[in-house]
Amino acid sequence: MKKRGMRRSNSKELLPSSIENLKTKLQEAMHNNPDFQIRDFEIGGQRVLVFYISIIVKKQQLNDNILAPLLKGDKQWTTQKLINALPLGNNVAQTKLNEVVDALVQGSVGIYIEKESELITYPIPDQEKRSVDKSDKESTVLGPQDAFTESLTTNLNMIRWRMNTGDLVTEKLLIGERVPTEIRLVYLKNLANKEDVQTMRQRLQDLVVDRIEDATPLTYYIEDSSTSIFPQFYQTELPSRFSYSLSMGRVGVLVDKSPTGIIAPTSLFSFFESTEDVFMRWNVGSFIRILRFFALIISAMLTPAYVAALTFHYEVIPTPLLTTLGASRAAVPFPPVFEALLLELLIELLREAGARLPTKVGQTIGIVGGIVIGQAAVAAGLTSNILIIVVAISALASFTAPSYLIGSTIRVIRFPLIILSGFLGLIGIMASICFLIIHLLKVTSLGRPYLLPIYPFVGKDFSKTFYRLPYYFNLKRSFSYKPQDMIRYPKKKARKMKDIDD
Amino acid sequence: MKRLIFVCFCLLLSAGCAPTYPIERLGIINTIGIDSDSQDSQALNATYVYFQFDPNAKNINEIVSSKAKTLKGTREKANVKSNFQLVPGKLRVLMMGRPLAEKGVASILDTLVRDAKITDTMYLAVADSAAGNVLSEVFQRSTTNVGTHLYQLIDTNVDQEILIRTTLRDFMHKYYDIGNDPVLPLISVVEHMPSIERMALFRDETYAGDISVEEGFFIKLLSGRYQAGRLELSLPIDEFENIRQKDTDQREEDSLFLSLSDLRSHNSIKLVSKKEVRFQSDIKVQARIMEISEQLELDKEEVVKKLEKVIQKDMERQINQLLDKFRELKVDPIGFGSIYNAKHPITQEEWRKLLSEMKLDLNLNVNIIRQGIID
Repeated sequence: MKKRGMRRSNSKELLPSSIENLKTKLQEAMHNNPDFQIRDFEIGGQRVLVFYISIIVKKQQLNDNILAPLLKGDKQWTTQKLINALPLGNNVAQTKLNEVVDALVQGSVGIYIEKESELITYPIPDQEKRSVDKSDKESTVLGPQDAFTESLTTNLNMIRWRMNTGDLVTEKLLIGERVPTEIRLVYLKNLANKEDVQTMRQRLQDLVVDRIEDATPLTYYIEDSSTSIFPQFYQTELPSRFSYSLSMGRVGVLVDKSPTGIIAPTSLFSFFESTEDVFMRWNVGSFIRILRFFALIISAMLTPAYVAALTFHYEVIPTPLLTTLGASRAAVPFPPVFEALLLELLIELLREAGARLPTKVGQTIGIVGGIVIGQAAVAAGLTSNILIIVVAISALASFTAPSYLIGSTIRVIRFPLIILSGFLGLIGIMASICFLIIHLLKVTSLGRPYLLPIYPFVGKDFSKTFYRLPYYFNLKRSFSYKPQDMIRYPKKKARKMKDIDD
Repeated sequence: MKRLIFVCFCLLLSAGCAPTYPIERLGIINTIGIDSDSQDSQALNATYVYFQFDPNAKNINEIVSSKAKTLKGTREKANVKSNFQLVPGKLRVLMMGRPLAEKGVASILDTLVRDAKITDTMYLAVADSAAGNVLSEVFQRSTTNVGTHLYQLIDTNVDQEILIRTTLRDFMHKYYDIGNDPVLPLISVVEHMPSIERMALFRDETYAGDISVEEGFFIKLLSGRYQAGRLELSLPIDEFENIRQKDTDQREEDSLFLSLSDLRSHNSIKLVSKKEVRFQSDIKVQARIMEISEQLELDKEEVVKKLEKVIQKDMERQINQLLDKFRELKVDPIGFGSIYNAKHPITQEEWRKLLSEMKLDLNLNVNIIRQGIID
């Protein structure tokens, strides 16, 4: 691995050194941090230095497992004796100052015994973290409810626990020049496509940034096309979804301090799959999944279609609707484009306000916005009441997407569509659909086409993407992503039901 | 990037050229009535019924008339009289006055076919007086929505298989087809409401005569197929003298009235002899008796057989009467000529001459499948 950053390169030998000298050097290296504590013990005529940053180590462990055995008895300590005596693992012998500092800031306790050639550090970090909670962003009715937390250890624990197989690999990588962050590349060794794993590993290793804020920004660094409006990696906070994807041969990435797991490669359509589909009966699950695809189309197309029809193509409106539409439009002083943009903007404002405000106020805003403003806008003659329905349906439809990212993508796509339909009518809508399709054909996710399994066409995978079939048809994993092992279970066993006689 | 911006800019500029039709500014024409002018025989009188979206107007329909030499010209003239832009995109019904229809309508319909904005599935109709008068009388004197009323009047009756489908496309198809003549509904005003009283027969593009709607039934029976038609018959009562049950009511009837419903028919016409211009038609009719004015023992098979036979005879009589009328008017709405033309190419004029010699062997087979549910 290449050298990272300035701080690490000027590595100096620290030891051996006198106690006083070490003290000053450490203090200096810690920039006289008030939380940095150096305690000087004299045990059996020997000076022992114990130092740590008080607010990030576990006090209990420090007292019980380090200080107590250390101070007990009048032994002549040596480093080797101490390692044997303390009931903690993970001891690291250190000689370099910068490595010591690195260890200290990650929550280690350092112990130096006078005249020894190295000091030892014990990591006993005390990380504040919330407990495992229900998922807010991706709530499901059926299936496991737990969500990732900010703690990598907890997250890994949840994944390990779900996938208790020796096949699970969690490769450790450190990213960040100034503030390194631990990242785990998670996959099933004998299942995940090796090329995918290598691509992901390569991208993570080659990444040079000062600091990663979270898993979400990390995806923006490593995804295939940064200019595209479409997310190319699936981000989830559900361990169930994460481990399900792993068992389908995908590659996962977990980032320390982030409650989001990244899954790649993904297709556009996997953003409309929910784990719930798997827990539902296949026929119900299929219906709901198809419903979501319709919702996608409605959400993106309904308002532009309204604008196009009212501005250019009065012929396509059915006569009974035409009379009501015309009557309600007649009082509106704006052209349909502005009318639609106004109301779409209103809905977006409401959504944004609702998301930013505390939950209780948010609900009030929803009611105020939905009923009062909607009704008032019609009464004031700003919009036609049919547009209110149109906009409400398309807003509602955009919320059916299980992934928040794709939902917001669709909402944004709607605006250029509305403007184009206002300028050019159905031709404008067609032009923008063509543009979108051309764009989607070019997008890749971890080097794999984004529109799989439609393009390139893989008919066998339709039952995994667009609808679902009974389990005895789902013998194989998705062909599109070429996992090492295609077979999920043997065909013969799938069909056979054990009866009481067997 | 610069090029992209340039292309976008050009696109935006060209977008300015697309004509907009915001519906609140449109007078959306739904019905047109066309007549030939009484003084100037070359001029057309057109009456437009259109939807207007004026929040202050009580009636959503508005009516305007104008006079010009061409149909498009009348619209230009009418536009001057209206504060809305008159557009024909949702034209549903075109009604032609009988005097105009007698002169020929092909030139008017031609412009409609040519105009891509006008749907080919719009209905055509003939008014028994001036079309403009029919429209304005209904508009002024009745409370109905004149714009949708006429369309629904024709459409529902076509759906129920009472009328023959008479869209612009059907008309033009039959007009251009050799040995086939169009039929249109003939609309008259009864108590200020439009009503389809008869059917207008056309010889090519000119009005040739009319028949009743009931007679129109047989045109479809011979030329198409019924899925769920209905028919009312009056049969001579003497035929049933011996099987007739004792009359319960004291009504004196000389006929037996019968209503058939869910009538399914299937028909094929063949040219049997070119020399004699003889056709053979095999018609299979299946129907259900819905109403009968006499008590017959319909449980008995021979009674049903007898009834079928009488119905068959009566239908044959009516068909032959109708054919006589067609021969007399020299029209061919059933399309015998196109069957002839398929085997032996012929011109329209030659067929008109042959039409009077045309003979038809009817092979009618009536089958009563149900008599209703009686406990």
